[in-house]
Amino acid sequence: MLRPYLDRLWSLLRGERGLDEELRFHVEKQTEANIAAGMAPEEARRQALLALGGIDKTREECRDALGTRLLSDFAQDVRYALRQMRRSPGFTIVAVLTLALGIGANSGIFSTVNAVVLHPLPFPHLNEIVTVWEIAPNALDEQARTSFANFLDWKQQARAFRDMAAYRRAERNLTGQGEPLVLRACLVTPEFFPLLEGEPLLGRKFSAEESQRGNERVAIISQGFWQEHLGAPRGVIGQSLSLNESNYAIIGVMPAEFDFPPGTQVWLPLAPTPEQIEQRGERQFLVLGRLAPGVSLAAAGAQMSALHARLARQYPFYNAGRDVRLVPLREYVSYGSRRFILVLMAAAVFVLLLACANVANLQLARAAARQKEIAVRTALGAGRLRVTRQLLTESLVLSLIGALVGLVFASWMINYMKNSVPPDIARHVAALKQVRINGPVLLFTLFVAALAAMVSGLAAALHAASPNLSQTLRESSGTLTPGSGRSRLRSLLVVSEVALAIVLLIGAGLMAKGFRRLADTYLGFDSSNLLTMRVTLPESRYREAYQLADFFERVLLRAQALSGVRSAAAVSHLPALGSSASSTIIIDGRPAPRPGDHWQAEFRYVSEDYFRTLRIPLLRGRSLEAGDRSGARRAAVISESVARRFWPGQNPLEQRLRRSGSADWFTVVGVAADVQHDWLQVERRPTVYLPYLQAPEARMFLVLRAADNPVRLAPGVRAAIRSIDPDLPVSQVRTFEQRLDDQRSGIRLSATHMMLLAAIALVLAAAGIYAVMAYSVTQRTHEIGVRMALGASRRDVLAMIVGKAARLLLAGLAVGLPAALALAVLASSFVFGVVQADAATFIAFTALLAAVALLAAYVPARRAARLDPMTALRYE
Amino acid sequence: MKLPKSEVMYGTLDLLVLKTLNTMGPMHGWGIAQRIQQISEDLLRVNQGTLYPALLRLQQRGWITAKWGVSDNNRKAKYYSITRAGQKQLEQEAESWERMAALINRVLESA
Repeated sequence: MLRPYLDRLWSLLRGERGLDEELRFHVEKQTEANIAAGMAPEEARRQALLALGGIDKTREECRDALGTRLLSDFAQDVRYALRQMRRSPGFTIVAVLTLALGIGANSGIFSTVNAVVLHPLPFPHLNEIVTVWEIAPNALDEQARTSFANFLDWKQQARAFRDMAAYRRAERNLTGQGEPLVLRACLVTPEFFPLLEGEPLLGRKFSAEESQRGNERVAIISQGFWQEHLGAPRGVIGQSLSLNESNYAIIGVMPAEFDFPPGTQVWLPLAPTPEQIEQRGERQFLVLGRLAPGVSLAAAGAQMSALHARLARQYPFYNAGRDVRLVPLREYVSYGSRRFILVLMAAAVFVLLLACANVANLQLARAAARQKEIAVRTALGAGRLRVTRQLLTESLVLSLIGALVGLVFASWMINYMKNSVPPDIARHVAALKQVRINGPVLLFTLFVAALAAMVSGLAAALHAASPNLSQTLRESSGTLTPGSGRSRLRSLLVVSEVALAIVLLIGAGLMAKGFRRLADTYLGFDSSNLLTMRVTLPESRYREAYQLADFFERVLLRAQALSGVRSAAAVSHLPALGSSASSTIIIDGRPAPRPGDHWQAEFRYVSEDYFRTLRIPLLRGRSLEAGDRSGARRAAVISESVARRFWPGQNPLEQRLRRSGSADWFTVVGVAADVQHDWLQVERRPTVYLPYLQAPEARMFLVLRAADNPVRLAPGVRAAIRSIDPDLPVSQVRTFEQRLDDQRSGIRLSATHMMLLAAIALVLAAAGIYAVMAYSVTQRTHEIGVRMALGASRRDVLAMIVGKAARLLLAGLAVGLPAALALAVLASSFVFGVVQADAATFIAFTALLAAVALLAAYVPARRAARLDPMTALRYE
Repeated sequence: MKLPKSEVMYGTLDLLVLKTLNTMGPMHGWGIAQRIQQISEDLLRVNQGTLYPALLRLQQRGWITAKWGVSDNNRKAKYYSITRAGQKQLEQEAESWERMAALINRVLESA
């Protein structure tokens, strides 16, 4: 029963060789028979061939029966297509380049989508891993850390999760290996590596005992650190590292692909202190969870919310009013960038559509010229389907060649992008290194090419294969109006091109404007000419508060004395970069905040020259002074919004407040202007500034105002620090402007890419209009001649052609402008408010497109107006 | 798939091939052509080429099978033989032809 199928398969596999042999055998036998019957050898063979009746036809019919007909037809079509393309090189080059732009843009952006959005981390079962956020509805931080106590409760009670791990990023000073260095570290609970299924390259993972205080002096390093800083010694296991002046033994090396959290150089066990375990309100930790088998994200989310509600009832002071939110790790890791990347992908699709419209137009024009050829082929027996197939194959060949060229463009685009991202940012975007043209990108390109071939070739193919054979054959020229259906289609294509182009142009304009607006926003202080750097004092040598205070005091004194330094200050967290250190405020004389009342503010520990250095205006009272030191009355400066919130219409000076978790009361001595919290969002958070001398921190930023060129101050400051403590590394030495630039680099890149796409769109639209108008003029040459002979002036002809173009333009704008508006409104919420619909941009870019379009139409119109009526009349 | 105009012819050809193979046993393409030519001079002298697509079709329907072998003059040739299904098909076709012939005879004689 199976035999016929096997026979068929076998025949297919053997291809046509078997058939050829069989036919050859047949001819030879017949020839022999003919010779035996008395014919001469040549005649015998000729008669044998005749009797067989046409080997090619036989072969074709066998192919039909076999089903390999399709394949051989396709091969034939491809050969034909290549011949046709060689015959009209102009068309081919333009079409291929146009498609290359469209397909290349898509491939380039898709490779970013593929790496950053789809596969940012190489963990198996990435879909099951989520980050667990603790959020408070009106708290300051959207992304929330939780406390260790909460984490333990979650871990114990959450059934929706197979396992949970907590982690916290940190920095550690590495000493004893030449120049002291600041390492990017991450403290992790023992479940961390098993949860992510990360296997070390060398050595082992952390054990449960190692997260007890006392056993935690072990470290796992990254492959990058092992290779670059240690020289990749094979015997690295057991080697010791001096981190913050304590010795850690290296027990493992993680492979380079395990880049989580992105940029980490060393992982250390998270060994919480007893206070950290008790303090439910100290939220420092991020939590990962792996969903239990069969549990959906929604179900887990519901369960965690219920669980946390229970915890809120148990510990109302800390947990009331808070909720839990689950964000898949894949999204979390690309949180900021994925939206911009997706917008770019949409823009690239628009460009592709534009490219396809242009090529469709070109093919329509060409099909009109080839009408005779197609009609003849149809008359000779090619079915309509066959002709359509052949034209589509031509389109496909064009697309595939365009795709190859497009991949070259795409790789340029990718290189440019990778080189434009500053290394500090690139380190933190997971998978940025993986953006390249790989398997999935090639598949995607193939798919896009096929789609483009379909879209651009379909119109021409369908029109060319339309029946009306005899009329076409008889038609010697377009004496009257050429195929009106076709010209309507062309007009439609132009209208849609205009619509697409205006949407892209406005989108790009809005994004560029939004970016510039962000860059120009006054942040609340003067960010120019500031040099910043980070200093972390190791606990081993700086255990007491006075030691910390003393160090910074001495550094600041020396820094002030340097030439070129106008003023110097220290602060625990730099402003306007989105870093957050918030706590609950407790006001003296008021009842303690009820659970659910979130009296939160950012707390900053600053030196006395902080406001002067950053040029933050002081609104009331005084700034902090050198006299606000340990022993003196504890003073604080609050920001405007704190005053407004807690003492509206009253005088906040001399009021007392304290930070939740600390027993020290501080007296308000001044009110400073608000500072923008985050360069991206216009938000001014309530901030409380406490003098570091009265509440010292081990980790501080130094900020120095230079007369000009802040970078030149760096060596002097480093020397000053080294003179006080030679073993202290200094990290992140950058100017404030550089930091802002780095953070803006993502949006800047997006805006640049958008402008590039919009420029391509403009060129394509202009080319499209020009082509259609030029073609239309050619078609109507005879008609123009008639009009001129009947008295039309040059200006009338000009007006006619340009008028037609203007009508198409208006139609396109009528569709495109509302679409652009709708998309702008949608986009503005999607990309964090960067894009805002604004009339000036709309008007400006509409004018730009109109000008370019009319210019494109003007050129052929002028040619038409210059026609000599006699020549035009004779034109056929 | 559109069949060429010789649709009726195909049916007859199929029958002839099956009959030939049933009577003569395994044969190669040329041999079948010779035998059929003997039986129906006019039909196949014009175009032997229609034989090979027919052989393919019969193979696909499972009524004949093919095997490569060596011919009498030591050349490679494809030999076809009829299958059980093919034999049944032959019987059925023969029956229906006879019934048709009998019916037509009756019609012709009655008038």
